[in-house]
Amino acid sequence: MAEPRDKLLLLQAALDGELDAAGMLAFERLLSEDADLAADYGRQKALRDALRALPKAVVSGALRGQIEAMAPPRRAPFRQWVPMGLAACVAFLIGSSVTYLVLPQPPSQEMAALVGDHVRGVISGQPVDVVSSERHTVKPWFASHTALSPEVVDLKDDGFPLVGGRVDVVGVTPVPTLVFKRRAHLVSLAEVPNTIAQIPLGHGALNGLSLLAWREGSVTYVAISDAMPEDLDALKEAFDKAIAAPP
Amino acid sequence: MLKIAGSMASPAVVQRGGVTRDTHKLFAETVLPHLDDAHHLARWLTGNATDAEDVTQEACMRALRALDRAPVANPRAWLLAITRNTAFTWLARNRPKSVVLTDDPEAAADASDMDTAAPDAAMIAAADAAALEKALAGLPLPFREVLVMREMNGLSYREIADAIDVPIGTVMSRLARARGLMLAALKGQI
Repeated sequence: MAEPRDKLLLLQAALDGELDAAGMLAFERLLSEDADLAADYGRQKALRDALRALPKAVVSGALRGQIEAMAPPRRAPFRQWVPMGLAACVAFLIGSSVTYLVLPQPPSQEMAALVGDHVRGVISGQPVDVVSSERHTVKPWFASHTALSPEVVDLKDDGFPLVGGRVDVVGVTPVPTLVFKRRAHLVSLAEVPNTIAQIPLGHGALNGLSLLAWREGSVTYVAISDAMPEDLDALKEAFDKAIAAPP
Repeated sequence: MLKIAGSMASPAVVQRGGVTRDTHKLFAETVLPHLDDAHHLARWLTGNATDAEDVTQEACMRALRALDRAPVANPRAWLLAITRNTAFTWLARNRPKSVVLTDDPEAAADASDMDTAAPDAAMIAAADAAALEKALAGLPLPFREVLVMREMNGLSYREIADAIDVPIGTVMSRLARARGLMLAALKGQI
Protein backbone atom coordinates (compact mmCIF):
# COMPACT_ATOMS: atom_id res chain seq x y z
CA MET A 1 0.00 0.00 0.00
CA ALA A 2 3.04 2.20 -0.18
CA GLU A 3 2.51 3.38 -3.75
CA PRO A 4 0.85 6.79 -3.91
CA ARG A 5 -1.31 5.56 -6.77
CA ASP A 6 -2.60 2.62 -4.73
CA LYS A 7 -3.36 4.97 -1.89
CA LEU A 8 -5.29 7.20 -4.23
CA LEU A 9 -7.39 4.29 -5.50
CA LEU A 10 -7.95 3.02 -1.98
CA LEU A 11 -9.11 6.48 -1.05
CA GLN A 12 -11.66 6.39 -3.89
CA ALA A 13 -12.99 3.02 -2.79
CA ALA A 14 -13.31 4.23 0.81
CA LEU A 15 -15.04 7.39 -0.33
CA ASP A 16 -17.51 5.47 -2.48
CA GLY A 17 -18.38 2.89 0.15
CA GLU A 18 -16.86 0.10 -1.89
CA LEU A 19 -14.60 -1.22 0.89
CA ASP A 20 -15.70 -3.98 3.20
CA ALA A 21 -15.36 -3.59 6.97
CA ALA A 22 -11.85 -5.03 7.09
CA GLY A 23 -10.72 -2.86 4.21
CA MET A 24 -12.23 0.21 5.82
CA LEU A 25 -10.46 -0.59 9.08
CA ALA A 26 -7.12 -0.86 7.30
CA PHE A 27 -7.79 2.38 5.49
CA GLU A 28 -8.62 4.22 8.70
CA ARG A 29 -5.37 3.02 10.18
CA LEU A 30 -3.57 4.37 7.13
CA LEU A 31 -5.38 7.69 7.49
CA SER A 32 -4.24 8.10 11.08
CA GLU A 33 -0.61 7.62 10.01
CA ASP A 34 -0.61 9.75 6.90
CA ALA A 35 -1.53 13.39 7.29
CA ASP A 36 -1.36 14.14 3.56
CA LEU A 37 -3.72 11.30 2.80
CA ALA A 38 -6.08 12.45 5.54
CA ALA A 39 -6.13 15.98 4.13
CA ASP A 40 -6.80 14.62 0.67
CA TYR A 41 -9.57 12.42 2.03
CA GLY A 42 -11.20 15.46 3.64
CA ARG A 43 -11.04 17.41 0.38
CA GLN A 44 -12.44 14.60 -1.70
CA LYS A 45 -15.20 13.96 0.80
CA ALA A 46 -16.16 17.63 0.69
CA LEU A 47 -16.17 17.47 -3.10
CA ARG A 48 -18.31 14.33 -3.04
CA ASP A 49 -20.87 15.88 -0.72
CA ALA A 50 -20.94 19.11 -2.72
CA LEU A 51 -21.53 17.22 -5.97
CA ARG A 52 -24.30 15.14 -4.43
CA ALA A 53 -26.00 18.30 -3.23
CA LEU A 54 -26.17 19.81 -6.72
CA PRO A 55 -29.71 20.29 -8.01
CA LYS A 56 -30.93 17.44 -10.20
CA ALA A 57 -32.22 17.91 -13.72
CA VAL A 58 -35.86 16.87 -13.94
CA VAL A 59 -37.76 15.64 -16.97
CA SER A 60 -40.32 18.18 -18.11
CA GLY A 61 -43.99 17.28 -17.99
CA ALA A 62 -44.27 17.47 -21.79
CA LEU A 63 -41.38 15.08 -22.36
CA ARG A 64 -42.64 12.71 -19.68
CA GLY A 65 -46.00 12.68 -21.43
CA GLN A 66 -44.39 11.84 -24.77
CA ILE A 67 -42.35 9.07 -23.22
CA GLU A 68 -45.34 7.61 -21.37
CA ALA A 69 -47.23 7.60 -24.66
CA MET A 70 -44.58 5.33 -26.21
CA ALA A 71 -46.13 2.32 -24.49
CA PRO A 72 -49.82 3.10 -24.13
CA PRO A 73 -52.03 0.86 -21.98
CA ARG A 74 -54.14 -1.81 -23.53
CA ARG A 75 -57.85 -1.40 -23.00
CA ALA A 76 -57.90 -3.69 -20.02
CA PRO A 77 -61.23 -3.70 -18.15
CA PHE A 78 -63.28 -5.87 -20.48
CA ARG A 79 -60.43 -7.91 -21.84
CA GLN A 80 -62.06 -11.23 -21.08
CA TRP A 81 -65.22 -10.18 -22.85
CA VAL A 82 -63.50 -9.34 -26.10
CA PRO A 83 -62.83 -12.91 -27.32
CA MET A 84 -66.38 -13.92 -26.41
CA GLY A 85 -67.80 -10.93 -28.18
CA LEU A 86 -65.68 -11.59 -31.22
CA ALA A 87 -66.76 -15.21 -31.31
CA ALA A 88 -70.39 -14.16 -31.12
CA CYS A 89 -69.91 -11.66 -33.94
CA VAL A 90 -68.18 -14.21 -36.15
CA ALA A 91 -70.92 -16.75 -35.52
CA PHE A 92 -73.52 -14.15 -36.33
CA LEU A 93 -71.80 -13.12 -39.54
CA ILE A 94 -71.35 -16.67 -40.76
CA GLY A 95 -74.86 -17.57 -39.80
CA SER A 96 -76.53 -14.57 -41.34
CA SER A 97 -74.60 -14.01 -44.50
CA VAL A 98 -71.85 -16.20 -45.86
CA THR A 99 -71.77 -14.12 -49.00
CA TYR A 100 -70.56 -11.16 -46.98
CA LEU A 101 -67.32 -12.98 -46.21
CA VAL A 102 -66.44 -13.62 -49.82
CA LEU A 103 -66.98 -10.02 -50.86
CA PRO A 104 -63.81 -7.87 -50.77
CA GLN A 105 -63.37 -6.13 -47.44
CA PRO A 106 -63.98 -2.40 -47.63
CA PRO A 107 -60.85 -0.47 -46.66
CA SER A 108 -60.71 0.66 -43.07
CA GLN A 109 -61.37 4.33 -42.49
CA GLU A 110 -57.84 4.78 -41.23
CA MET A 111 -56.33 3.18 -44.31
CA ALA A 112 -58.55 5.31 -46.53
CA ALA A 113 -57.39 8.43 -44.70
CA LEU A 114 -53.72 7.53 -45.17
CA VAL A 115 -54.23 6.70 -48.84
CA GLY A 116 -56.10 9.98 -49.26
CA ASP A 117 -53.19 11.91 -47.79
CA HIS A 118 -50.74 10.08 -50.05
CA VAL A 119 -52.84 10.82 -53.14
CA ARG A 120 -53.24 14.47 -52.21
CA GLY A 121 -49.47 14.74 -51.74
CA VAL A 122 -48.72 13.21 -55.12
CA ILE A 123 -51.34 15.27 -57.01
CA SER A 124 -50.41 18.57 -55.39
CA GLY A 125 -46.72 18.00 -56.12
CA GLN A 126 -46.05 18.63 -52.42
CA PRO A 127 -45.76 15.18 -50.90
CA VAL A 128 -43.81 16.43 -47.88
CA ASP A 129 -44.21 19.13 -45.23
CA VAL A 130 -40.51 19.13 -44.46
CA VAL A 131 -38.15 18.55 -47.35
CA SER A 132 -34.93 16.97 -46.35
CA SER A 133 -32.87 13.93 -47.04
CA GLU A 134 -31.16 14.67 -43.74
CA ARG A 135 -32.75 12.49 -41.08
CA HIS A 136 -31.61 14.81 -38.30
CA THR A 137 -33.70 17.58 -39.77
CA VAL A 138 -36.76 15.41 -40.16
CA LYS A 139 -36.78 13.78 -36.74
CA PRO A 140 -36.84 16.96 -34.61
CA TRP A 141 -39.43 18.42 -36.93
CA PHE A 142 -41.70 15.46 -36.18
CA ALA A 143 -40.94 15.68 -32.52
CA SER A 144 -42.36 19.20 -32.51
CA HIS A 145 -45.42 18.41 -34.65
CA THR A 146 -46.65 15.00 -33.50
CA ALA A 147 -46.98 13.27 -30.17
CA LEU A 148 -44.66 10.56 -31.29
CA SER A 149 -41.17 11.00 -32.57
CA PRO A 150 -40.80 8.32 -35.21
CA GLU A 151 -37.88 6.31 -36.40
CA VAL A 152 -36.31 8.38 -39.15
CA VAL A 153 -33.93 6.53 -41.41
CA ASP A 154 -32.51 7.17 -44.84
CA LEU A 155 -32.66 4.02 -46.96
CA LYS A 156 -30.70 5.47 -49.84
CA ASP A 157 -28.33 2.51 -49.91
CA ASP A 158 -31.27 0.18 -50.36
CA GLY A 159 -32.74 2.21 -53.20
CA PHE A 160 -35.15 4.32 -51.13
CA PRO A 161 -33.68 7.82 -50.71
CA LEU A 162 -35.48 9.86 -48.06
CA VAL A 163 -37.43 12.79 -49.51
CA GLY A 164 -38.79 14.22 -46.29
CA GLY A 165 -41.62 13.98 -43.82
CA ARG A 166 -45.27 14.90 -43.60
CA VAL A 167 -48.01 14.81 -41.04
CA ASP A 168 -51.02 12.68 -42.01
CA VAL A 169 -54.23 12.72 -40.04
CA VAL A 170 -55.93 9.52 -38.93
CA GLY A 171 -59.31 10.32 -37.45
CA VAL A 172 -58.32 13.44 -35.56
CA THR A 173 -54.79 12.38 -34.67
CA PRO A 174 -51.73 13.63 -36.52
CA VAL A 175 -49.30 10.83 -37.30
CA PRO A 176 -45.77 11.06 -38.71
CA THR A 177 -45.23 9.89 -42.28
CA LEU A 178 -41.88 9.50 -44.00
CA VAL A 179 -41.70 9.88 -47.74
CA PHE A 180 -39.17 7.91 -49.76
CA LYS A 181 -38.48 7.74 -53.44
CA ARG A 182 -38.39 4.45 -55.35
CA ARG A 183 -37.15 5.19 -58.85
CA ALA A 184 -39.92 7.42 -60.27
CA HIS A 185 -42.41 6.50 -57.53
CA LEU A 186 -43.08 7.98 -54.14
CA VAL A 187 -43.59 5.77 -51.13
CA SER A 188 -45.34 7.07 -48.01
CA LEU A 189 -44.55 5.29 -44.77
CA ALA A 190 -46.91 6.26 -41.93
CA GLU A 191 -46.35 5.32 -38.30
CA VAL A 192 -49.71 4.83 -36.59
CA PRO A 193 -49.95 4.13 -32.84
CA ASN A 194 -51.97 0.96 -32.26
CA THR A 195 -54.05 2.84 -29.73
CA ILE A 196 -55.74 5.04 -32.30
CA ALA A 197 -56.38 2.45 -34.99
CA GLN A 198 -56.28 -1.28 -35.53
CA ILE A 199 -55.13 -1.47 -39.11
CA PRO A 200 -55.37 -4.80 -40.92
CA LEU A 201 -51.85 -6.12 -41.49
CA GLY A 202 -50.33 -7.47 -44.67
CA HIS A 203 -50.60 -6.53 -48.32
CA GLY A 204 -53.57 -4.71 -49.78
CA ALA A 205 -54.60 -2.49 -52.65
CA LEU A 206 -56.76 0.59 -52.89
CA ASN A 207 -57.40 2.81 -55.91
CA GLY A 208 -54.57 1.11 -57.78
CA LEU A 209 -52.07 1.75 -55.02
CA SER A 210 -50.12 -0.99 -53.27
CA LEU A 211 -50.40 -1.12 -49.49
CA LEU A 212 -48.39 -2.96 -46.90
CA ALA A 213 -49.01 -2.76 -43.17
CA TRP A 214 -46.94 -4.35 -40.42
CA ARG A 215 -46.74 -4.00 -36.68
CA GLU A 216 -43.68 -3.20 -34.60
CA GLY A 217 -44.24 -2.95 -30.86
CA SER A 218 -46.83 -0.30 -30.15
CA VAL A 219 -47.10 1.09 -33.68
CA THR A 220 -48.28 -0.07 -37.07
CA TYR A 221 -46.32 0.97 -40.14
CA VAL A 222 -48.30 1.54 -43.32
CA ALA A 223 -46.48 1.80 -46.65
CA ILE A 224 -48.41 3.22 -49.61
CA SER A 225 -47.14 3.60 -53.16
CA ASP A 226 -47.96 3.21 -56.82
CA ALA A 227 -44.83 1.07 -57.06
CA MET A 228 -45.08 -2.73 -57.16
CA PRO A 229 -46.02 -4.67 -54.00
CA GLU A 230 -42.53 -6.26 -54.09
CA ASP A 231 -41.05 -2.78 -53.73
CA LEU A 232 -42.96 -2.37 -50.47
CA ASP A 233 -41.58 -5.68 -49.24
CA ALA A 234 -38.11 -4.39 -50.08
CA LEU A 235 -38.85 -1.17 -48.19
CA LYS A 236 -40.03 -3.08 -45.13
CA GLU A 237 -36.92 -5.20 -45.19
CA ALA A 238 -34.62 -2.20 -45.54
CA PHE A 239 -36.50 -0.29 -42.85
CA ASP A 240 -36.43 -3.19 -40.37
CA LYS A 241 -32.74 -3.57 -40.99
CA ALA A 242 -32.08 0.13 -40.50
CA ILE A 243 -33.97 0.46 -37.22
CA ALA A 244 -32.44 -2.71 -35.84
CA ALA A 245 -28.94 -1.41 -36.55
CA PRO A 246 -27.39 1.11 -34.17
CA PRO A 247 -27.59 4.60 -35.67
CA MET B 1 -15.83 0.64 -29.03
CA LEU B 2 -19.29 1.95 -28.28
CA LYS B 3 -21.74 -0.71 -27.36
CA ILE B 4 -25.49 -0.56 -27.61
CA ALA B 5 -26.87 -1.41 -24.24
CA GLY B 6 -29.82 -3.26 -25.69
CA SER B 7 -27.52 -6.00 -26.79
CA MET B 8 -25.55 -5.91 -23.58
CA ALA B 9 -25.08 -9.40 -22.23
CA SER B 10 -24.76 -8.27 -18.63
CA PRO B 11 -25.35 -10.30 -15.51
CA ALA B 12 -28.39 -8.05 -15.04
CA VAL B 13 -30.42 -10.37 -17.23
CA VAL B 14 -32.55 -13.17 -15.79
CA GLN B 15 -35.03 -15.51 -17.37
CA ARG B 16 -38.52 -14.22 -18.01
CA GLY B 17 -41.13 -16.16 -16.05
CA GLY B 18 -44.54 -15.81 -17.65
CA VAL B 19 -45.60 -15.94 -21.23
CA THR B 20 -47.88 -12.94 -21.29
CA ARG B 21 -46.19 -9.61 -21.55
CA ASP B 22 -47.81 -6.31 -21.19
CA THR B 23 -45.45 -3.79 -22.69
CA HIS B 24 -47.23 -0.90 -21.05
CA LYS B 25 -46.88 -2.39 -17.60
CA LEU B 26 -43.28 -3.42 -18.19
CA PHE B 27 -42.35 0.01 -19.51
CA ALA B 28 -44.15 1.72 -16.63
CA GLU B 29 -42.34 -0.41 -14.06
CA THR B 30 -38.92 -0.60 -15.66
CA VAL B 31 -38.31 2.68 -17.43
CA LEU B 32 -40.62 5.41 -16.14
CA PRO B 33 -39.43 5.37 -12.48
CA HIS B 34 -35.91 6.22 -13.62
CA LEU B 35 -36.63 8.95 -16.14
CA ASP B 36 -35.24 11.75 -13.99
CA ASP B 37 -32.08 9.78 -13.36
CA ALA B 38 -31.61 9.11 -17.06
CA HIS B 39 -32.32 12.73 -17.90
CA HIS B 40 -29.85 13.94 -15.32
CA LEU B 41 -27.10 11.75 -16.76
CA ALA B 42 -27.99 12.89 -20.28
CA ARG B 43 -27.87 16.50 -19.15
CA TRP B 44 -24.31 16.14 -17.92
CA LEU B 45 -23.16 14.09 -20.88
CA THR B 46 -24.59 16.44 -23.51
CA GLY B 47 -23.94 19.63 -21.55
CA ASN B 48 -27.44 21.11 -21.66
CA ALA B 49 -31.05 20.33 -20.90
CA THR B 50 -32.35 20.72 -24.46
CA ASP B 51 -29.99 18.17 -25.97
CA ALA B 52 -30.61 15.98 -22.94
CA GLU B 53 -34.32 15.85 -23.78
CA ASP B 54 -33.48 14.43 -27.22
CA VAL B 55 -31.17 11.86 -25.71
CA THR B 56 -33.59 10.89 -22.94
CA GLN B 57 -36.37 10.39 -25.43
CA GLU B 58 -34.25 8.36 -27.78
CA ALA B 59 -32.90 6.28 -24.92
CA CYS B 60 -36.44 5.48 -23.82
CA MET B 61 -37.33 4.40 -27.34
CA ARG B 62 -34.33 2.10 -27.37
CA ALA B 63 -35.25 0.82 -23.93
CA LEU B 64 -38.79 0.09 -25.09
CA ARG B 65 -37.50 -1.95 -28.01
CA ALA B 66 -35.00 -3.76 -25.81
CA LEU B 67 -37.71 -4.63 -23.26
CA ASP B 68 -39.14 -7.18 -25.65
CA ARG B 69 -35.83 -8.93 -26.03
CA ALA B 70 -34.81 -9.71 -22.48
CA PRO B 71 -36.07 -9.06 -18.96
CA VAL B 72 -34.19 -6.63 -16.80
CA ALA B 73 -32.99 -7.29 -13.26
CA ASN B 74 -31.51 -3.89 -12.45
CA PRO B 75 -33.69 -1.41 -14.34
CA ARG B 76 -31.97 1.76 -13.18
CA ALA B 77 -28.44 0.69 -14.12
CA TRP B 78 -29.83 -0.78 -17.33
CA LEU B 79 -31.62 2.42 -18.37
CA LEU B 80 -28.59 4.53 -17.45
CA ALA B 81 -26.35 2.30 -19.57
CA ILE B 82 -28.71 2.74 -22.50
CA THR B 83 -28.85 6.48 -21.87
CA ARG B 84 -25.08 6.70 -21.78
CA ASN B 85 -24.69 4.80 -25.04
CA THR B 86 -27.46 6.81 -26.66
CA ALA B 87 -25.77 10.02 -25.55
CA PHE B 88 -22.50 8.94 -27.12
CA THR B 89 -24.03 8.06 -30.46
CA TRP B 90 -26.10 11.24 -30.29
CA LEU B 91 -23.03 13.36 -29.57
CA ALA B 92 -20.97 11.68 -32.26
CA ARG B 93 -23.76 12.45 -34.71
CA ASN B 94 -24.78 15.93 -33.64
CA ARG B 95 -21.82 17.38 -31.75
CA PRO B 96 -18.84 15.54 -33.21
CA LYS B 97 -16.38 18.04 -31.81
CA SER B 98 -17.40 17.35 -28.22
CA VAL B 99 -16.51 13.67 -28.37
CA VAL B 100 -12.80 13.18 -28.21
CA LEU B 101 -12.23 9.58 -27.32
CA THR B 102 -8.63 8.67 -26.92
CA ASP B 103 -7.80 5.01 -26.56
CA ASP B 104 -6.43 5.57 -23.13
CA PRO B 105 -7.77 8.67 -21.40
CA GLU B 106 -5.64 7.94 -18.35
CA ALA B 107 -2.48 8.22 -20.42
CA ALA B 108 -3.77 11.33 -22.15
CA ALA B 109 -4.15 13.03 -18.80
CA ASP B 110 -1.42 11.50 -16.72
CA ALA B 111 -2.03 11.26 -13.02
CA SER B 112 0.64 13.53 -11.70
CA ASP B 113 -1.75 15.04 -9.19
CA MET B 114 -1.95 15.10 -5.43
CA ASP B 115 -1.60 18.83 -5.71
CA THR B 116 -0.49 19.97 -2.29
CA ALA B 117 -1.88 23.44 -2.88
CA ALA B 118 -5.39 22.11 -3.57
CA PRO B 119 -8.25 23.93 -1.85
CA ASP B 120 -9.05 22.63 1.60
CA ALA B 121 -12.22 20.83 2.59
CA ALA B 122 -13.90 23.89 4.08
CA MET B 123 -13.40 25.94 0.91
CA ILE B 124 -14.84 23.16 -1.21
CA ALA B 125 -17.84 22.80 1.03
CA ALA B 126 -18.43 26.53 0.66
CA ALA B 127 -18.08 26.53 -3.13
CA ASP B 128 -21.27 27.57 -4.86
CA ALA B 129 -23.19 25.36 -7.24
CA ALA B 130 -22.23 27.42 -10.27
CA ALA B 131 -18.51 26.93 -9.67
CA LEU B 132 -19.00 23.19 -9.19
CA GLU B 133 -21.14 22.87 -12.28
CA LYS B 134 -18.61 24.79 -14.34
CA ALA B 135 -15.79 22.57 -13.16
CA LEU B 136 -17.82 19.44 -13.84
CA ALA B 137 -18.82 20.62 -17.31
CA GLY B 138 -15.15 21.22 -18.09
CA LEU B 139 -14.11 17.63 -17.40
CA PRO B 140 -13.25 15.51 -20.44
CA LEU B 141 -16.13 13.14 -21.21
CA PRO B 142 -14.54 9.85 -20.00
CA PHE B 143 -13.97 11.39 -16.57
CA ARG B 144 -17.22 13.32 -16.44
CA GLU B 145 -19.35 10.28 -17.15
CA VAL B 146 -17.90 8.14 -14.36
CA LEU B 147 -18.14 11.00 -11.87
CA VAL B 148 -21.76 11.77 -12.78
CA MET B 149 -22.75 8.09 -12.72
CA ARG B 150 -21.12 7.74 -9.32
CA GLU B 151 -22.15 10.98 -7.56
CA MET B 152 -25.39 11.97 -9.25
CA ASN B 153 -26.80 8.56 -10.17
CA GLY B 154 -25.24 6.68 -7.27
CA LEU B 155 -24.15 3.68 -9.36
CA SER B 156 -21.70 1.18 -7.87
CA TYR B 157 -18.31 0.54 -9.44
CA ARG B 158 -19.63 -2.73 -10.84
CA GLU B 159 -22.62 -1.01 -12.41
CA ILE B 160 -20.48 1.73 -13.93
CA ALA B 161 -17.99 -0.83 -15.25
CA ASP B 162 -20.86 -2.71 -16.92
CA ALA B 163 -22.40 0.43 -18.34
CA ILE B 164 -19.27 1.79 -19.95
CA ASP B 165 -17.72 -1.59 -20.62
CA VAL B 166 -14.35 -1.17 -18.91
CA PRO B 167 -12.74 -3.05 -15.99
CA ILE B 168 -13.48 -1.89 -12.44
CA GLY B 169 -9.86 -0.80 -12.06
CA THR B 170 -10.35 1.64 -14.91
CA VAL B 171 -13.51 2.99 -13.30
CA MET B 172 -11.53 3.62 -10.11
CA SER B 173 -8.61 5.32 -11.79
CA ARG B 174 -10.94 7.49 -13.89
CA LEU B 175 -12.87 8.48 -10.77
CA ALA B 176 -9.63 9.38 -9.03
CA ARG B 177 -8.53 11.39 -12.01
CA ALA B 178 -11.93 13.07 -12.36
CA ARG B 179 -11.85 14.18 -8.74
CA GLY B 180 -8.28 15.39 -9.10
CA LEU B 181 -9.26 17.46 -12.12
CA MET B 182 -12.30 18.84 -10.29
CA LEU B 183 -10.18 19.96 -7.37
CA ALA B 184 -7.65 21.56 -9.70
CA ALA B 185 -10.43 23.40 -11.56
CA LEU B 186 -12.06 24.55 -8.34
CA LYS B 187 -8.74 25.83 -7.09
CA GLY B 188 -8.82 28.35 -9.91
CA GLN B 189 -12.32 29.46 -9.05
CA ILE B 190 -12.76 29.51 -5.30
